[in-house]
Amino acid sequence: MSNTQFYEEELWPFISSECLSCHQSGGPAEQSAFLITSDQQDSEEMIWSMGIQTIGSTEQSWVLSKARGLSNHGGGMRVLQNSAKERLVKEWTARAQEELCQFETTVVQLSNTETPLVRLSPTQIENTLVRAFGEGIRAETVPAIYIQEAEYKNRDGYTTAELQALQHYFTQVIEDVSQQEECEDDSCLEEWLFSKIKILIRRPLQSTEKDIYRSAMTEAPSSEEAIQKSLMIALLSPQFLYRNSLHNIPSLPIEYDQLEKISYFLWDAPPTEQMLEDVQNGTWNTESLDDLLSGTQTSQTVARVHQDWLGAAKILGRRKDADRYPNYQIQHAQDILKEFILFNQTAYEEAPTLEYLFTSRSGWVNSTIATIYRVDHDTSDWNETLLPEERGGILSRAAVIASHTTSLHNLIPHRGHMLMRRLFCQEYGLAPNTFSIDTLPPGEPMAPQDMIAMHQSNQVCASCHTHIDPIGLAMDSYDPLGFWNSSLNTAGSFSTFSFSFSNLQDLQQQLTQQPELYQCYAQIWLERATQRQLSESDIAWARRQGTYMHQQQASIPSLLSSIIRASILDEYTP
Amino acid sequence: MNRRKLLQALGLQSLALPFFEALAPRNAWAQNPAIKRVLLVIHRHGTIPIRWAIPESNTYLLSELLNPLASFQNNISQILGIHNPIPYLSSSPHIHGLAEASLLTAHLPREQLVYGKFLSQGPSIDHLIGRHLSLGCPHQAIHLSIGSDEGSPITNTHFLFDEQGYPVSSFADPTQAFSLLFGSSSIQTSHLDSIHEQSSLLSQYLSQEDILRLEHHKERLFELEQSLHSAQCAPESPFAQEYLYNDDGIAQAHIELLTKSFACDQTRMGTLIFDHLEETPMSWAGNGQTPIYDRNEYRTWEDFIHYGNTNDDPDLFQGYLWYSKKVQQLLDALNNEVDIDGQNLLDGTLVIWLSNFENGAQHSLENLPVVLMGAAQSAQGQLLDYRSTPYSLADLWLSVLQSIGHEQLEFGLRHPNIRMEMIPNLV
Repeated sequence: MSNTQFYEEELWPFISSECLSCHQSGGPAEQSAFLITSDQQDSEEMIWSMGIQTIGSTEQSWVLSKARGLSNHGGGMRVLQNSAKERLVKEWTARAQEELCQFETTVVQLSNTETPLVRLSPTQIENTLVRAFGEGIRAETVPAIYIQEAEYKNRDGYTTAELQALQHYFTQVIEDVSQQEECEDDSCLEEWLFSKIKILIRRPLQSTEKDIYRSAMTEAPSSEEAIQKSLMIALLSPQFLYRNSLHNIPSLPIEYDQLEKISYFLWDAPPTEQMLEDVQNGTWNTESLDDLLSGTQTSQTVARVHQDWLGAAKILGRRKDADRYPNYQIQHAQDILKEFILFNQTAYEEAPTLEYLFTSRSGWVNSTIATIYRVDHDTSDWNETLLPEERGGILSRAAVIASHTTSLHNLIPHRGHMLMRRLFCQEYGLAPNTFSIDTLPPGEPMAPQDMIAMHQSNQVCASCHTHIDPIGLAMDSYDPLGFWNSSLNTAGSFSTFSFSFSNLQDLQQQLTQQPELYQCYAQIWLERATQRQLSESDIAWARRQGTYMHQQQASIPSLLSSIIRASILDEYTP
Repeated sequence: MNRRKLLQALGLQSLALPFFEALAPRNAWAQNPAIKRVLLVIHRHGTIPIRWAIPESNTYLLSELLNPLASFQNNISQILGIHNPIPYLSSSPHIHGLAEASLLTAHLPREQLVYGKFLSQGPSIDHLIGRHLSLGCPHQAIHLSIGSDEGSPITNTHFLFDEQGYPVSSFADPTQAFSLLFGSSSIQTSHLDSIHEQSSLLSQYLSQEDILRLEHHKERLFELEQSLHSAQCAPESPFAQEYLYNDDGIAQAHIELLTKSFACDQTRMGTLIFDHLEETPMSWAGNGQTPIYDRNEYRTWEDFIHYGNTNDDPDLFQGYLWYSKKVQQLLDALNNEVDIDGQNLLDGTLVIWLSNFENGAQHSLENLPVVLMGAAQSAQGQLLDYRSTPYSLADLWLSVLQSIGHEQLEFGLRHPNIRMEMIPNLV
């Protein structure tokens, strides 16, 4: 298709319907650089020239960023990421930059980018220590020195404060460990030590490394101090604290690297001693991969990934108004988070599909949860049970609801925005310059329907709020602690996906019929597997896997298997 | 050959490596010998400007809001005319996030970290001061916050940034602060030599990018090693208490922790940030039981500031006055403590107290409330009024840097409207 034909048949209809009303003389965006008229021919030069604009000295396309609602276009039209409209905008910029060949022939495959060194997360540090030394060593949890996920991901290395905190933690662990070993001579001690370090660093030690530890042990005045010194060296060394270095070590079988990636992907833990033995003996192979996908360790990881995906652990840091909720204790937050984890674990073990996750009424209760969920259960023990209808689906669980609420208000747009961002991997830009929260009157919050109507009545507001309000509305019958109020009407329509809903359960049921949910879900897991920011090609690959998962109603384990085979084992997947 | 072996070879094994750096030639700007330590105190939401200063007086008079500092009146420099032009240079509407991220960096924030919160284009001033003054101390800086906007014991206040512009955390829970900062057990320094050898072994297999990561790791371990030699003493562990909605108790614990940290030379740079943003009831500013504003009429403390009667409301005044009372407690604590050289702590500490807005209701950024206390002021008990020729935050921080002998001649964003020069008569 020629550029002329593309402009006349696809681009101009899109721009005249989506952009013209604002980007013309007298429109809300008449001060912007992008100004067109209702005449197709007159506007053509401006449209093509905007297509080649980039942001500052970056290579990011200006129009693509604006169309996504970023770069302070929050009040204007926005396209959903990975949608047909977004693809049209991309084609616009590609044609303008005369890069059409590249655009048309983009192959949907994973980027061949080397994985850099990454730090172990606090969970991974803890699990690796348990793998090496057993459950008994867990005196306290690794210090919570990270605040936000992004803060953690962006660090190039550990800060001094973090290393100091870790050193303090390791000292306590080593004190417990040094009482475990029962060797009577040096060779036994050495063998015991090297077997532990092998698990810690996920591979056998090289001879030079062994010499370093032997030298350290020789200098120690007693066997106990020899162990303490050697283990502290091991635990503060980059071989333990960082992963993804194994593929670089010459003569080390590639299976060690593969196993390290697979085990941390599935379990946030290193390979087992048996797995390392199998590699050493040449008997480990990928046929056992499917066995690794089942089991408690994997279900626990899946629960944690869902927790991060939906932000359910934010409840631990949410303050709740002490005046309005005087009985709220931190134990409440811990209990509802545990309920979330148990539900997700059980779901993975019994029916690992997204449809089950978003519709199931199965749950776990203790006395706290029973009060919130209105079921009969008066002991502190945890029991699995069938929950009332209003608790169907993962979005209705108290951890998700209470995590996305400030202490005072339910805040429809707040909840909706946070969950749309997470469920569909969509970014939403800032509100336009002309808007400020200060313009809202003080006093009691607006009624939900009034707020929705106010957003819809303003073209500038509606461009984002059309997408973020519906989920928030559906959740509005649940209060900041997760209790349900049956008297509230939270029916609405979700124009993003062209459906209406009567309540949160109805909304969730219909969300499971949208491929975008599965596409984002696949993206989440792929990012975890590759441990890097996903490229456009990676995202396209993940979307394809998600689409397949949706069409076939494939299980979560099958998605994880595809991702492992493609991203870690380098096997071809369609 | 590693650093330790070098020292041994030179017969200097009893000296810590920082000694070498101390021998480096000083820059042209003479360090003010009175300034051993710097402490930044920050509260949000500005003040009530009309009740903050009395510029029309011929002699220095403490305003109503600063009256709790009466016993230190002769040790105060109150400054008018410091403004923050940075948020106006940004197209983002998030005035709070912009004001926070630029207060100590004097720089335009870059990309959002989370909604309304930013990364920075450079470090905050405490980072530079800490690296300069805290050479040889176990900690480059100690960051404590009172209240926690995020509800976490370790929180991101969005004022502090490292060299790469990433947020630096503060401790909201004094027991966690103590445990993580001072709870380390001793470690043999020979451990670290072995770890360096391990790192070198691994580096030979890695890409250039990953080698840099390992270098970073080694540098941090070296800083950890420094702390082992230079700790003179440690503060006592604070007793455990609830850190949320308990600002009065936490403030006291943090003040004690900071004071003792300075006295023990654990650090020479500290920040104390009043971190409640919106939802605090501020009950501790009143009778300690009930919120100082009507929660039915004003949803949050921020609402009260915006929609209350800003100048005359007695409850709003009480809220802001509480900050002054805490600063008074801080000055008292410093004044009643001596450092390892036997000198009064306050005499050797430059305390800078400021807020990210002038008027919290209007989000105004001109004439920020700034007060200098403690060491090294050019005059005692004064009001420095620069409103006719205002200075920017960059000028303020540059003046502080140069007064401690830091060789940096610029700080923050370079812009035609920002002069980047010393403020006269300041320190």
